[in-house]
Amino acid sequence: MKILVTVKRIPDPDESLKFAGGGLDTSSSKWVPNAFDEYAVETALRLAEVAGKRDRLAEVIVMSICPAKQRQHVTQFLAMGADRGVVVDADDSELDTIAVSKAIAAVAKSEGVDLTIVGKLSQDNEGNQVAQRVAGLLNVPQAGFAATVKWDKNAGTLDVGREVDDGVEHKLVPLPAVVSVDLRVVLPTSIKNGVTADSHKYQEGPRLASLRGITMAKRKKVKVLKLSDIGVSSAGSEQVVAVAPPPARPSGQIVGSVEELHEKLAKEAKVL
Amino acid sequence: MSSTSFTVNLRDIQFVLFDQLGMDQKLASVEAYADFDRDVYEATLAEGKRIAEDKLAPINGPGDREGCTVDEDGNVTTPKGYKEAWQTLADGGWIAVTAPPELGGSGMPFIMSMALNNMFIGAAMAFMMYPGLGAAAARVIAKHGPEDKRELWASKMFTGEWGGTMCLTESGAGSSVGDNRAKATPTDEPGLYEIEGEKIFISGGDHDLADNIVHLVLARTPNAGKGTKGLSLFMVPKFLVDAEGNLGDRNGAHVLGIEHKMGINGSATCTVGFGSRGRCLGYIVGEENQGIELMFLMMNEARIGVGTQGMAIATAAYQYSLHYANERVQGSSIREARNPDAPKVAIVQHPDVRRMLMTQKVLSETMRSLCYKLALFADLAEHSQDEEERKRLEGRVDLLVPILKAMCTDLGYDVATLAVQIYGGYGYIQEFPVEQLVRDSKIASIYEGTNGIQALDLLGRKMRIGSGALFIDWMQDAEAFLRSAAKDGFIEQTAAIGKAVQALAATSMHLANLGRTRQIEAAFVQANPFLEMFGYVLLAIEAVDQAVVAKRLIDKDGDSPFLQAKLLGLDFYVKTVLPKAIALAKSIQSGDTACLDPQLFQV
Repeated sequence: MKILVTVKRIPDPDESLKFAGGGLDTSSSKWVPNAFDEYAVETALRLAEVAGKRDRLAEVIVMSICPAKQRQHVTQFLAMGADRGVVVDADDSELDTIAVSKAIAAVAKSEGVDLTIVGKLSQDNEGNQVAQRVAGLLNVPQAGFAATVKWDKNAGTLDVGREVDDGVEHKLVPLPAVVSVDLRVVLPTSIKNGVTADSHKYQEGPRLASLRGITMAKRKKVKVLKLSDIGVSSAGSEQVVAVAPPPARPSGQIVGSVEELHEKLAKEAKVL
Repeated sequence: MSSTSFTVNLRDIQFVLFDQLGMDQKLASVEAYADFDRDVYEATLAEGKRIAEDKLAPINGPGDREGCTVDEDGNVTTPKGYKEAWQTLADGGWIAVTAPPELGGSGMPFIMSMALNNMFIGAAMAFMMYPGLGAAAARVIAKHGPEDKRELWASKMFTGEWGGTMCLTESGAGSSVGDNRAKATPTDEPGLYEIEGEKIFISGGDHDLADNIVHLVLARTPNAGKGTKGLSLFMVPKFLVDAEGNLGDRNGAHVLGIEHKMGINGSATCTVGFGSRGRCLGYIVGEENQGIELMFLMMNEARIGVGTQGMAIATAAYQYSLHYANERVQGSSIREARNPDAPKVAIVQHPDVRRMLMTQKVLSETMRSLCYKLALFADLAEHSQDEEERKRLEGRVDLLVPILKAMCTDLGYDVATLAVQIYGGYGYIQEFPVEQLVRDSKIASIYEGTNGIQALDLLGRKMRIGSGALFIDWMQDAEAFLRSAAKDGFIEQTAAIGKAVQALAATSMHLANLGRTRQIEAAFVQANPFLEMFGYVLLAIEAVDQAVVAKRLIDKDGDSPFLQAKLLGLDFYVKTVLPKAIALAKSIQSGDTACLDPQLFQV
């Protein structure tokens, strides 16, 4: 079994945004991995490993589309335990959702992967489209917003518990498939691979890399491709028109009485 | 972000390691580190930050309030959460960052372990005593333990399966370690001794974090001479083990009590009895009478480590203060003193708070720079192929280590105290994290050679090696560096620091003359002020070094508030901190010996 996990680097969401020239200025941004992609890698590792043993049930490949020299996040995921990496060398300016989806589908196809796991969205532009598009391009089933995943090896299926408005919906998808993961997928017993005991409790959240994992990460293979190598054109179907900070909130008012409040709501704010 | 959450300033750590010291470049040619590059180091730091912030910082406050307990059999229980934190470090290979990979370590350079300690100790100093001492004891065993045991024992300690301690101090034998009374009597088995005695102030003398604990014990064999030269070193396990390392019978090393202390309450400070409750066996490490020599081999590393504790507390205190000052609203701007309707502002707007923050920032960042730099020198000295270069670097480390240890621990405490002042009333309250930093940090100026001992070491030994050769070599480098920094545009600043270097030279001449004329006590009264003066000059040079690098980066990549702050930091240092060095020069050279008058201090 081969699992492809897509990972993205984003400007640190804890830093304040800078604006320049009608757009975001990320020239001095600190880049960090997208949190949902950390959950995706954790999901893949839990599916692939037999807890407490060295055996692996699957190969975990992390894929990122980023400038080839700025792939520290890929190193980090290799340090966490992924087996190898694929980097598609491209700058954000060459990318839109369609190009990204096509690149992922192309790599999934050429690698012959059985399962593609993606974070449900990236924290920077919150598109939430990639899983759906990739499944469409590959013409395979999809299960979005996974909170639990149970792998039945013999049947070649995944039972995916999906976060929906009124609870968790279970979908049984045959492999190959595309799964996008949500927050609760990293709870201690969310993932069951049929070999690690179902009762096994993982530490909550994506795992920390061990120092040994970090020092080994550099020896793991990372294949670097260009968009043209995989037949994807960077022509933009999307265009950024403008990005601006939201208007500052006007200061509040202290009113003297309920009557005054009522009047202001009715006449000034016109919400009554 | 809450003002009470611990944060690591990764940006500054990276600045020192990569931009200023270029450690990845300098160590790239060292064979032992050839596998590592900046990516690996950065990934290590990023993960270290997560461990410090998410796993260690949360146990620090609760561990302080809960403290340790000991039962009647001498078994120590550590605070809640310590076991999980220990497991996190053990599982991830973070206990022995520098240990060889074949013994369960990660084979990283010493400077990386100091950068990680900077984060981990800042997050939870008391907890870090356990892995810190365990790894230190393991390093001695790995090199000098009995050949048939050293690899097995050391690897169990490096991986956190076992813990370790250092048992030197006895009542009446602290700074004067040569007064040690513990006895070691040979048994019929070569290398195996029966140990009897009592050690005090043993950090982690027992704990519930690991299956076994190995004590390194200084003791005297029969017929051994007096003083330090008659001491031998033994490894004494809590549980005796077989050749495969399986645990057997309980050995006669028991905790007799734990201290109730000012700080580091999560670290069990124990009185350990050897042979008082049943026979206690220990294996000799190295040869008989080699004990102190083996301890001395560790000394530079250990003292850089303790200086790093002071620095780590300072950097943590600054980060806490910075966040609090930006959140805490109190009073209005002094510019609006006459306006009763002026809006309330965060206290970071008040000049006195800014002055304190700047003091914290500049001291903690220059200390970070000094600690990492000396750790890098130690790495380079260890691996240099060039004999002359190796000797020079070793000499530099020897000279500066006592200054680093004393200066960083004293200033660490001061910077923590400033944090309490910035927090105001809340700083004095346990609900907020900074009063603990004051209490925790105080020990660092006392152990691993009190700061008084460091000053003796500097003035009495290091300044005299080769008739002052180490000092002269340092001074030539300092002056050459200042000349080059002047060419980079830091003319006024380097002139001021150059004067301080000259004053330091004159002060050392003054003290040397007191020595030559047998006014020994008059000279040693000034040992500590001399160390302090030297320390302020050293930190000034770090401030220039950082400013030079910042300016180069600004010219190359453009301005940023982070880099600009380094330039402002240098100005602040030169104008407000450096004059202390000049004042100390005057006070030292005043020749005052009033405190030596025998009429004083009689009770």
